[in-house]
Formats: sequence, structure tokens, C-alpha cells
Amino acid sequence: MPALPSPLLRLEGLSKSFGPTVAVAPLDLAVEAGDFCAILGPSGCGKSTLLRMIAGFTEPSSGRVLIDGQDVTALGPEQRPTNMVFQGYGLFPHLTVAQNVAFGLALRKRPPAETAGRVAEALKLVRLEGFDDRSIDKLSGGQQQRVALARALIMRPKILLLDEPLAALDLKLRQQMQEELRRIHADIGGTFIFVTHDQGEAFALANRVVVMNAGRVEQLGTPQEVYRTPASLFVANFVGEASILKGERRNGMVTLAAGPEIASAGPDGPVSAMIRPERLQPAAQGLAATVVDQQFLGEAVRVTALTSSGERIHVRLPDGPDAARLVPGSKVAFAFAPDAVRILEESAR
Amino acid sequence: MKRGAVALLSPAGAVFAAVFAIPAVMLFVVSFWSVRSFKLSPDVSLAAWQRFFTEYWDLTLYTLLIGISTGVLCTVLGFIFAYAARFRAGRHGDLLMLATLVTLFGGYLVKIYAWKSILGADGLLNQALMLTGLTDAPLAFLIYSRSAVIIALVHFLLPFAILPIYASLRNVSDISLEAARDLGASTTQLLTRVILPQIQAGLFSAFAFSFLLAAGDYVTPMLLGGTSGSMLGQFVLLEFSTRFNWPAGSAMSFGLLLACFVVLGAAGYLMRMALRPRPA
Amino acid sequence: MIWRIVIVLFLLFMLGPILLVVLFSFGSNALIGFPMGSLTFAWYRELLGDSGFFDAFQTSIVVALATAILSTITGTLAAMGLMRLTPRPARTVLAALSLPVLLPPLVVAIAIVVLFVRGLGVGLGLPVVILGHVLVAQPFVILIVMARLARFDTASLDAARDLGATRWQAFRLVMLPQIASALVGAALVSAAISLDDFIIASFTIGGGNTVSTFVWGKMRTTLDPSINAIATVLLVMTIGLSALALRLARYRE
Repeated sequence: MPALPSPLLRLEGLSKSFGPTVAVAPLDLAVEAGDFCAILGPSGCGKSTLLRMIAGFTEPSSGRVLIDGQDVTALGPEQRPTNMVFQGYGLFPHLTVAQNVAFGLALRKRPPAETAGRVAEALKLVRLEGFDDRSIDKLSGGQQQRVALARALIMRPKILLLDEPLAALDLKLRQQMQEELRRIHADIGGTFIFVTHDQGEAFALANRVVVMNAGRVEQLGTPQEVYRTPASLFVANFVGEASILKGERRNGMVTLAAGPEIASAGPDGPVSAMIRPERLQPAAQGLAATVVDQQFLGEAVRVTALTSSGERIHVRLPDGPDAARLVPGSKVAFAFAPDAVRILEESAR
Repeated sequence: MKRGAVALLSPAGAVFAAVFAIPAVMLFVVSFWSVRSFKLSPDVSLAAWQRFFTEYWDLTLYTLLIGISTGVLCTVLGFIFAYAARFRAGRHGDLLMLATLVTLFGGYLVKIYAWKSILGADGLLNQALMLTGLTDAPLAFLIYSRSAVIIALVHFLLPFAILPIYASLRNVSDISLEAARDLGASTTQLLTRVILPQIQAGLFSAFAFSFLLAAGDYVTPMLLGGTSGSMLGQFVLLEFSTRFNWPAGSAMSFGLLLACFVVLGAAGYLMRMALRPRPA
Repeated sequence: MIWRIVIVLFLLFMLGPILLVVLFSFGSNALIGFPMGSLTFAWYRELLGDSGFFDAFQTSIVVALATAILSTITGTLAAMGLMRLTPRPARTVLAALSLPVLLPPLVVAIAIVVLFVRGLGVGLGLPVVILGHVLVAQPFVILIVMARLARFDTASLDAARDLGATRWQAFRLVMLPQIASALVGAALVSAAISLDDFIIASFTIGGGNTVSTFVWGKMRTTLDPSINAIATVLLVMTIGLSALALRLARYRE
């Protein structure tokens, strides 16, 4: 075996089937220490199953889970150096805030003084000082979220797992908690892995994003990579908004059904071209289209148009005179820089 | 079924098998045995069943009639009470349900005894009637009659009818009623087209509970029925105890159950027909 | 207004007869009827001196206690088992286990006697009474516990495991404290059902009396005024137990 630098978490050929249904197809994945990693995908894509296999709640059908080079596949959740923040939190309603947070340490029979100190420390970290004796059902959703976080963090897990951590919170609170989570991640320098179906949340929090679909990893990369250079049509569509235009490649030149030509090396054959909405600008000439709808979004305007080939394109531009001209029915052309186009082979769907 | 589930269910299942399922099968088998001079012997005889169909068919019909009357009264009264508790009593609704539970646990024998004291020849009702001068001699027909049995059974079984109806009325959302009102439903239409169809299951449980327990009772008719208010249960008991004719008692038990399920099937069908969605 | 009258009439019909019995247990007249005579505790005093009642009372307590404990165990385990099944088989199993409550207790009792006396040749007695009571009480326990488990957040069990608890520790430290009030409630309801039963007890007890069969004896023979007092004692116990159960199961979470 070559001496590779060992990642903190390594999944090798990990898979899970429930009877005939494959929840997670065999996959390999490495997460480095200090990463804030998002597992992003639509509901039912297997992301929660993957998280539960890492935590030890779900026994994999095949493959291994290695943490710090140690095979933990056979260990139960209580024996793994991971802790989890559950969707819906799973707090203990019959215990106070402090008793909830101390639960794990109490099981390990730590000296009371140490436990008390670490509880105070954990509550301070999540900004719940003075909440020790409150009962759980007297807390707001955001406060419950913080208790769940403190309860897991107090165990000083090598990896903190979060299952849709912010799904139950409303928008303002969610943004606030996103900031908090980043601060806590930076403060303790830990490794966080979380599952979400919300691409905005994945981008806001993570430095690494794993995009999953139908039990498979579609792409692994930084948020920028995933957004700018999606590996597949699924990623292009699921992560952010995209215009997808069909085309044909001949001799290193792609001709779109909608008109324009783009230089792109690769084998001849049908391809798709993806362009993000903010990379299209109204111009004298380029991609010709007829506007069908215009939405005012506040800081920007979202325009939907139909190309001559009948394909739908999405454009986003700052509010202003340019945008005001794009009323439904008007015929316009959109220009784009060559690097704004991502060519995807038909096989990469 | 999962293995863990089977293990968890097995203690309850063992009790069920030991004192219900196996005894029921045994009881059914005994209905084909024969009896000669108080001695029971295993046999394949239809004598007991013959006896049920020839000697007891009219009593079975009476019994079913009392059961059906009780069941219908309980269901109708139970609905009125549950409706009041759910929609008309405001915050006192919970109090009404508490009263229901008190009645439920008010003691089976105690209730029958109470009715005997009320309806008896020197009971409260006769005293009251004589005191007010409505009659000058005690009315004997108050007690020892079919109506006395039905009154006491309705009293005993009303909570059993109220509870399932109330439970299903709680699931009727206020919004669906407001929507119906908004679409122009009258109070009657609200009842017949929105509320009743939604609580069919509750109504049926209410009828099934009160009908089955009424039809199977023997203590109430024994103490309040006299000769005109006899029910099959008393004779099942008689065959088992004094006459020592177990096969007959067994055949009568299963015969009664069979008849009850026929009635329940018919009741379910009628209810579905009556409450099916109608074209406008 | 009409509804108010309707409700009052209902309450009169439902509670009136029961209240009468209680009322007359304190009256000096031998029979229920007005005037009820002066206030007296004579019937209760008489009960205290009646060894037959005392024995029956003790038997009832023993049977009710055993029924409560056993049916709470079998019913709770069954409820947990049913929660693991998919809804359709769970409904079927629950319906089967509830069947003994729906059928006439007379038939259930006779079947038990036929099997135990003729089939197995073992005698009747208190253990058989208790088994019969567990049979009718356990469906109620199952319903109460299932209702509680349906609101139970299973993620809290996962959380306990994740924090280092074994399966048993998770059950004892997280689940049990949360469902304890429902279990106590279920046990009390079982005890009330056991105390209230007359038919199964009268068939399967063999010799001796429970309070119910004791009352029955008095009801059949004489119009004994102490029945009012016994009935009141029984009433206070069953209603007290079930009211307590209701409070525990519904209001304390």
C-alpha cells in the first residue's frame, strides 16, 4: 500500500440496500480533518442513509467506514467517535437543558465537577448561558437546536454529524444559525458533516460539497466547482438555476440548436451546453430569444425566454433600464463569454 | 413480520391463546358432543345445534331484537351527546367526557341494582308517580319487562357508544365544516353530508359495541326482565349450570354469535348505503 | 338553550342512578325510597364487621393488583411490538387481541371453564380469574401505550445511543421516564376493569368471592341495604382509579 496521507473519514465501497431497493450504491469518499462538508441531494437520494451509516445507526450492506484510519464498520453508534445532531433534534423532554447536555458524560461516569465545567463550556459555545435549568418544551426551535448542538459537541466528537440541522427553522433564524454554525466550526476547529436538500444552505456553510442523486455521488468539490463546473446535467439543474441547450459537436466545434457556435474539444456527438443565468447579458447579437416572463426579485430581475429552437433559458440581471426593456413578447439576443458555457456530454446525465 | 415484533407480542399472544383462542375452539368442538344422563362424551352430533334451531330460534330473535333496540338507541343517543360535547358545550366538553367515563366505570352490577331500585314495585319511580297522584297503585309493568331491560342496558352501554363517536368527531376538522358552510350547506346538509359520513367508523363501532354486549348479556334480564324480558344468555347459563348440557349451551353461544355477526354485517351495509355520497 | 336542557337530561340519566346508590348508602332506611331516613354510617359499620365482605375485598385487591401488573407488562410489550409492524398487520393483530372485549363475557367465561375443567382437568381459582382479567384488560393497555408511543420521538432513543448509551440504557433512561405516566395510567385502568368485572370472576373463581360476586350473592337473596354501601365502595375505587389514570395519561407529560 502506498503511504497516502490518511483522511479523517474514509468510506470504501460503502452501500446500503433495503430489500430490492438500493438506497446507497457502493461509493468511496474521503473527508479531511477540519472540513465542513455538505451532503446535498433531493429527498430520497440516500443522503440520510449515508449519514446514518457513518454514525453507526444503519448497518451497511457492503464496504467499510474508517475514522482516523480505524475500521469502525462493526461498531455501534455508542462506540464511534462521532456524534449527531438529529433532524427534529431528539432532545430528552423529561430532562432539563443541562441534563440533556450532560447526558453523554453522565453515561461515562465522569466526575461531577468535570461534567459541570464542560456543560457550562458547551452552553457558552452555543450561547445558552443561564439556560441550565430550563425545561426543553419551554425553548424556542432555535434554542432547541442549540441544545442539540451542545449535547453532541460536549462529547468532543472527531466528526460532528448533522441531519438537516436547520430544516425546522424559519428563514431569518436559519440564516442566523448558519452564521453560528460557521463560528462554532471555526472556534473548535472540528470536522462537520451535514446533510441537506437546500443548496443555499450547503453553499453558505460548507467548504466541500458532495452532491448525491439516486444513491450515487454525482460530484464532489468546493461550492464554486460544483456551481461553475457541474459534472452532470443533474448537478447543473439541482444546484442553482441553469439554461440547458442542446447541441451537436463536430470537429471541436459545438453548434447549438438555438444558433450560436462554441469551440469545445471532445468526441463528435450530441452534447448539452449549460449557462448560469447571471452569465447571460442582453446584447445586439448572440442567442436570439423571445421573452415570456419577467419576475422582479428585489435586487435583481429574473427573465425567462424561449429560443428559436423552443428551449427555455433563464437570465438574471440587475434591476435597471436594461431589465425594464425585457417585457414579455419582446425579441432580444443574449451574449455570453466563452468561459460561461459548460459543455456536458450526453453520457454524463 | 419482524422477529423483534413477534417476541414482543408473544406474552400478550400467549394469554390470548390460553384463555381465549384455544378455549373458543374447544367450546366450538364441544357443541358437537353428546350428553346422556348428565354425562358428556366426545361425539360428532348435531343434536345441540338442532336444539338451538328448533327450541331457541324465537328466543334468539327476541334477544337480537333487544340487542338491536339497545344498539340503535345507544348509537343515536351517543351521537347526540358526543355532538353536544364536541360542538355545543364549548370548554365544558371535557367535563362531559369525564362524566361519560364515570358512568363507564360506575360498576356493572351497581347500575343494574340501581335500576332495580328505581323501577321496582316499591321503587322510586312508582313512589313518585303515586306521590304526585298520577297513579294510586304501583305500576307493575315498570320492572320485569323488556323495556326495563332495554333502559338498563342503554344506561350501561351508552358510554361505550359515546366514546368511539366522540373520538371520531374530534377528527372532524372545524375547517371542513366552515368550508361546507361557505359552500352553502344548511345545518341538516352539514350533518348528513359532511359530519355523519366522516364518522361512519365511529358510529359503527358504537353500534357494534352496544349491540354485541347487549345481546350477550344475561345479568340484566335476569334481574329486570321477568318472564317477558328473557334473553338467550340466561338459557346458555341454564344449559351450562343446572341442566349440565354443555353442547347445547355451546351451540347456543356460537349460534348467537353467528346471528350477531349477520346483524352487524347488515347494519354496516345499511349504514354505508344511507351515508354514501349522493349526487347533488 | 335547548342543548343545555338536552345535556342536563343526559347527565341526569347517566349519573342519576349511580348517585342514588351513593346517596342511599348513607340513609337509615332499609330500601331505596323516599324519605331516605336520617344520615347514618351504619351500613358501612356493618360492612367492617362482615368477614365475608372483608375476604371478598382482599381477594378483589389481590386480583386487581395482579391484573394491573401482568396486563401492563403484556400490553406494553405488545404495543411496542405493534409499533414495529406496518399499519396493516398491526391493525389485524390489534383487532384480534381486542376480540375478547367485544364478545359477550358470558361466552368468554364459559369457554375458559370448558377448557380448564374439561380440557385440561385443572381446577378453577384465582389464577384463572387473573388470566381472564388480563385477557380483557390488555387491549386497553395496548391502546393507551400505543397512543403514547405514537407521540414519542424515536430520535431521542437514537440520540441516547449516539451519546454512548446501550440499548437497555436508552430504554431505561430515555424511553421509560417519558412513558411512565402512561404505563401507570394503563395499570390503573386495568385494575378498574378487574374490580368491575363480575361475569368472568363468577365463572372462574371456583370458590370464594370477589366484591362483585359477593354483591351478586346479596342481590339475589335479600334486598340487603348494605349493597348500597358495598356498591359505593366499589364505585369509589373504580372511578377513583380511572380518574387518576386519566389525569396521569393525559395531563402529565
